[in-house]
Amino acid sequence: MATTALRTAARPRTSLYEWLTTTDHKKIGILYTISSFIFLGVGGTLALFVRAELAQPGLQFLTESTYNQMFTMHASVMIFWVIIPFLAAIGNYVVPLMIGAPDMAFPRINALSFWMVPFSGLVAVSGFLLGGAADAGWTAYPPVSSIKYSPGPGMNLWIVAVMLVGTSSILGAVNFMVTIFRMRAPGMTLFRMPILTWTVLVTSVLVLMGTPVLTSALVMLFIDRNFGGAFFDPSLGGSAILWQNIFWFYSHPAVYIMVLPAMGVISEIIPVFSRKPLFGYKAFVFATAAIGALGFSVWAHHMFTTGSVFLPFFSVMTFFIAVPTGVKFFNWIATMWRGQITFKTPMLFAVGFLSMFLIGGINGVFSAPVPVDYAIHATYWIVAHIHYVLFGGSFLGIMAGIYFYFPKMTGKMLDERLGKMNFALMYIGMNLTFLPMHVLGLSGMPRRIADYSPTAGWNDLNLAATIGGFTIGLSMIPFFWNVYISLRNGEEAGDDPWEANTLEWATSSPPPAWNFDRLPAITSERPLFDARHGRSGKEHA
Amino acid sequence: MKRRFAVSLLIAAVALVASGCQAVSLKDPVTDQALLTRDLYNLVFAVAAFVFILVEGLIIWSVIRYRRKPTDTNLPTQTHGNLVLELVWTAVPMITVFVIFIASWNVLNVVDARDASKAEVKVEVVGYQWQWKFAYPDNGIEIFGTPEQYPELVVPLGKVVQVTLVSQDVNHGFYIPQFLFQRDLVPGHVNVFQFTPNKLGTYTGQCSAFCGLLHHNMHFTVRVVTPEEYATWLVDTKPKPSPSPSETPAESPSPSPSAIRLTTSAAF
Repeated sequence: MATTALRTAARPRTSLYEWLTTTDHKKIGILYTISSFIFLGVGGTLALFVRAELAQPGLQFLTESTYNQMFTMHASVMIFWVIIPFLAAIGNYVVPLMIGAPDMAFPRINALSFWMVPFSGLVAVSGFLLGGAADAGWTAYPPVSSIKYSPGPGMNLWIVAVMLVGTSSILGAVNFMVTIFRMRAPGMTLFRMPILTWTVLVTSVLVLMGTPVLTSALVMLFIDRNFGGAFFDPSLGGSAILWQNIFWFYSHPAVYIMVLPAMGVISEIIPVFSRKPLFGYKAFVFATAAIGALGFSVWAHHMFTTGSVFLPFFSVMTFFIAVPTGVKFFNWIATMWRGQITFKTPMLFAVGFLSMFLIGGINGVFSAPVPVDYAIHATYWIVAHIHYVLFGGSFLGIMAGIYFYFPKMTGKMLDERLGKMNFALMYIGMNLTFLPMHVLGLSGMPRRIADYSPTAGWNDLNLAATIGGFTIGLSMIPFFWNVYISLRNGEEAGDDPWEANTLEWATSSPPPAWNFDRLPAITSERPLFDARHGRSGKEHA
Repeated sequence: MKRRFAVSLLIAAVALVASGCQAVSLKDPVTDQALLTRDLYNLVFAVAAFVFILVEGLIIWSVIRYRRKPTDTNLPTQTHGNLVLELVWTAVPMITVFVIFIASWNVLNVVDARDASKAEVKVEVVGYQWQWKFAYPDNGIEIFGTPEQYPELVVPLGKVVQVTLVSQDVNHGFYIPQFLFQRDLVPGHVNVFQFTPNKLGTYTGQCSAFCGLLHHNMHFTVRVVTPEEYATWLVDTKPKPSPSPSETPAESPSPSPSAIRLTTSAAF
């Protein structure tokens, strides 16, 4: 505690220049966080425009053209410039600390990875000011995304921006892998690594295998659009289905890229607030690896209705990929079982993740039996599914992580009352938004429509979803207020405010530039627990 | 008092669950294939509901039952795992999903069955930005939709209808909610599917694959009529060059729902 105060005083004042040129993984992690929150504002605003338009039938606020741009950019921004960078933020800040390393393996490449994110994000959204943003959906299926059917500059900007953010991801993945394989502290064997580090590792492998494939598709689409290529143009001998195959080969694993680190965050939080070790550590690692491996064999379940994929294989693999995720649920619950649970805000969000991501897992399994997929594909059921995964899963996990690591990042505690208000509003809001979408989907409402018939029977549920959407927006106000007041006069956090298990809590808050003055002995996956209590309980299975 | 409150709470819960189940069921199926799909959906839903209640119940139970009490000063037992338990909760879901897969595969083989020799009615659906053309090549009938007048596909009850899907420009999705079915129209790729309508009525359909600006405006309807009505409709709808004035039935219930506009394919 005393060292914290001393160091804060001794630290040089951080100037803007220092932040812009930093190669410190912790500062880069914080920069990622700030950038992600700014783009969250952009993506959230776009979502609220979409919800406002859909609140009632008829076109009230937007034209079809702006509507199409907005739902396209909402998804693109949220996926590429919010969720993935948020997880990169947590990974960047925490992983070197967790494994007892002084920094990432390639600090300057790390800085490059970060700066490509806001830059590419600006390129993508600049379309709104330059005559129209991308309007072919975030999936950008040709021919709708071809120059003939999307002639505006937005599509080109989108392609370039996604290529850039993809490159940033690839660089980041290499950096994480080298850091994790080469820079672990003495005693930190692979099977003593915190689960969050494991999930970042597996995610990095997925990024490294998947993202270059997406980039290749983007290059081809760019050539088609601008240099007369015909990769995806069937009228010139190309194949429109080819895009879907390549795109989903990346974009299905991308869902795991967006959820595995969030699972990692949850797996750090639940043991700490239950005062128990994670139940089945090794099983959890294997389940993570299994999800990573199976993740590359299910992409065509997005294409069941195209009539050009081998259905039984992708169907059975889609069923099987549900299993390792199910295993994790039992691990998390068994961790809480007979524990001593305290409900600080991070734990609230973690339990929120459990209860909501469960829905996102279950409603996804409905797409595995192909005939059922024929009935629900491209309807609002799918919109419900992806939001229970990416909002109920990834985003609640991210919020849990932010509440959990904020004291480490800043040295200040966040206010619990405001945190709980944030959670309650967000939890109610998300269910009010996304639960009705299941029913809309079953009653035949296709996704991506700007307008619907007033006689279709979809009015009330759409209105409910819109109210829910604005409630989610509202829920962020207590959060930002909380950050503001806590930074100014929050309670001092100290090194380890949560009685946590892993190395990042063995140093001051915030840690010095070099991370650690000394490390505790690492003889298990819970070095701090061991230091506090001695090793109790038997060896994990 | 407390008891009455509990009872009314229970009634409210039951009502909520009942209406919830109503809301989360698929639309009433109107084809032979859709009946199977509905049954499959109900099976998946039953399993899903069981898993949901089980896991969500365990979560709720854990967070209520195992809250830290002021007396909890000692650590709880530090259990690191249990191999048998973990094997069981891996194997049981694995078997469960595999069983559902087998069931779904059986249904798929019926839903996706395409036997051209069994087709009794053949229609061709052409999708383009942002309308449909429905053609009956054997009868020389072509129906073009307009934004004001959505096209209508007329099919006879109980006959095997074969639909050929062709896109003229971008991807479209031929989706009829009450068929519990959709199939994409992909340029450069012809898709074929068959269905057997088993309920009279008019069913709405809509493009399900995002196709650009007026994607939301690609509506159509499918009207299932009796085979006799269908025969009459064919005669009435057929372009003028082949009038068969001999026996135009007077009681023909003027089926042509003015949704139909006849043009030639030169319209493209």
